[in-house]
Amino acid sequence: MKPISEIIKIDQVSYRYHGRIPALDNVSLSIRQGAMFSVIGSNGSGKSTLLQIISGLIHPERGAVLFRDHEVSENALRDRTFLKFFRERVGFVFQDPDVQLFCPTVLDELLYGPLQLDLDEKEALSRAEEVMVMLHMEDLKNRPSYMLSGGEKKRVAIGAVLTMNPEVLLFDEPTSGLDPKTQVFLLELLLALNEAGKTIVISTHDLSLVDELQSQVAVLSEEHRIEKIGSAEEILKDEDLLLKVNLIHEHVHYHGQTAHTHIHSHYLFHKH
Amino acid sequence: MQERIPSFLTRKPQPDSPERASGRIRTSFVTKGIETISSVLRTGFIQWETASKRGFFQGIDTRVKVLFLVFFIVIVSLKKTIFSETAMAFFFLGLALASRLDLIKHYGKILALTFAFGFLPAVPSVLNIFTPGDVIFSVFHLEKGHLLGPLVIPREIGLTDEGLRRVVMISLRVMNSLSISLLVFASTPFIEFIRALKVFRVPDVFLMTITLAYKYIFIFARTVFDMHLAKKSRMTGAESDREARQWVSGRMAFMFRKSQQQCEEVFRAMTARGLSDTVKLRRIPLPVTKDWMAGLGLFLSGILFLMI
Repeated sequence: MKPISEIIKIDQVSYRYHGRIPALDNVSLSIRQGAMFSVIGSNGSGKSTLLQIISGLIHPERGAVLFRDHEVSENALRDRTFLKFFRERVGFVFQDPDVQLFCPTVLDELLYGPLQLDLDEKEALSRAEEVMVMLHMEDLKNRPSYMLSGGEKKRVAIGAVLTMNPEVLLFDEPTSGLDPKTQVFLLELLLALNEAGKTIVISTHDLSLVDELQSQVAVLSEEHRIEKIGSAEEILKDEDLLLKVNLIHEHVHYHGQTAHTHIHSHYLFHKH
Repeated sequence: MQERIPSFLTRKPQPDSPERASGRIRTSFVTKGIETISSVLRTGFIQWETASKRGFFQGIDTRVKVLFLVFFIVIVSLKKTIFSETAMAFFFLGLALASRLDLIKHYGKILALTFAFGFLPAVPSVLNIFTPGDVIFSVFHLEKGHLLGPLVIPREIGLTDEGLRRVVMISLRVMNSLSISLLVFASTPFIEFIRALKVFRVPDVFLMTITLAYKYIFIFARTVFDMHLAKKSRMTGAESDREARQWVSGRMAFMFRKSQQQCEEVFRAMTARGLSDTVKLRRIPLPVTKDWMAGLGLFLSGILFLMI
């Protein structure tokens, strides 16, 4: 069997919320197996929608999503075998961990996925223990999710997906609302998981994260279309593009008595 | 970090392709229920979109519309002839057209509600058991008449002219009342509608409470739907009704906690912005000439309907 290099393919996908509000317009892209891939764009450009479509949680109005050459449609996911095949391989970490955590304790949360996959309890427990060690949350084992801080909730949400051992991990705004230390931890985790062979797809407007990950990048415009796909270096150098999609902006400030205008991204382009 | 990656995370799942199909998954009642909740978002959005169109009614001051609503509901209740009710029905149709509403959806809703709350409850009164009068269509013959409490059962049971008129009249009244109400609701953003209740001296604190409750319904629906998606992303098969109920009860507790937390935070935010013992909302600007003209036109139309 020939190796499949393209694990996810999005083909001319369009989506509107409530059949009216446009979220994606004719979006096409493909993601290689083992890739680190970022979808960037300003607020409301459709990044999260794209990730939810990739993970088969919502379905496009037009176009198709393929996972390992199998179409991920509403109809296909009604098939028991395909659903298991797909969910075992594609994990989704939501931006708001509160919506993702629904089990009584952290341990239950970590065991939920493996038990859905019919793993025996011993194996599931072993996975949960290993993930807890990796994510430094052994002490949280018996805590209910509402007694966790924001960063701890995020780690549990990630752990809950990792225990299923998916090939593809989708992270929606992974660093949003996290303190710098947790952000660094998460960044290292993403790199390590990618190094371990996982395909990582993130949605973000954090350009420093894109730079740190050195991922392939798809830029979504405010018109919900793909503006450009390229390497992180290529995209981050393209000031005109980033200005156009509102990821950086021109800003005025003072040096002594002199007003001064320059491009500003809160990260890369704060240069004089 | 790399050295801490558990070995199971480096294992590849087998096989590369799904095996042959092993049956379909039915949609659980919980999923159906949650999808219905999410339709709240859709309905809210459609209402807002319709209310934002550039139509006749959308352009009128909300207070004028609220007064129009009350005035015409009184007129609809006062009128006693089918002709005048029918004339008003056409007038409301004209207003809906001028307001660029989707007539099929708008009247679909009105007719369905009229059928359920106007026609069906009134339909027994077509019979001469309830409405005495000249039988125009005989349905049933008895050997002799009966007396059942206050009801007189005649020998010949049938539809009466008076009964038919009564059913048509009740149905038209319900339809007209719904037409005006839904026209005002469809052409007015909900928040504006609530604010316009100031005309009736509704206290600001009450208006603020309704506004917050309305806003919270949408936040609630969005959160419930997101939680449903998050669970769906980890479901690898069908769930039993018992599991679904457990999930729902757990999530209800979560929503309760979140609501309490949000309530406290909103209160703190209001306090931080100067809330003391009274809520003060901004005064709505006075209606402009266009609103007065529209109001006068609607008032004169109402008088005309009163006269016919």
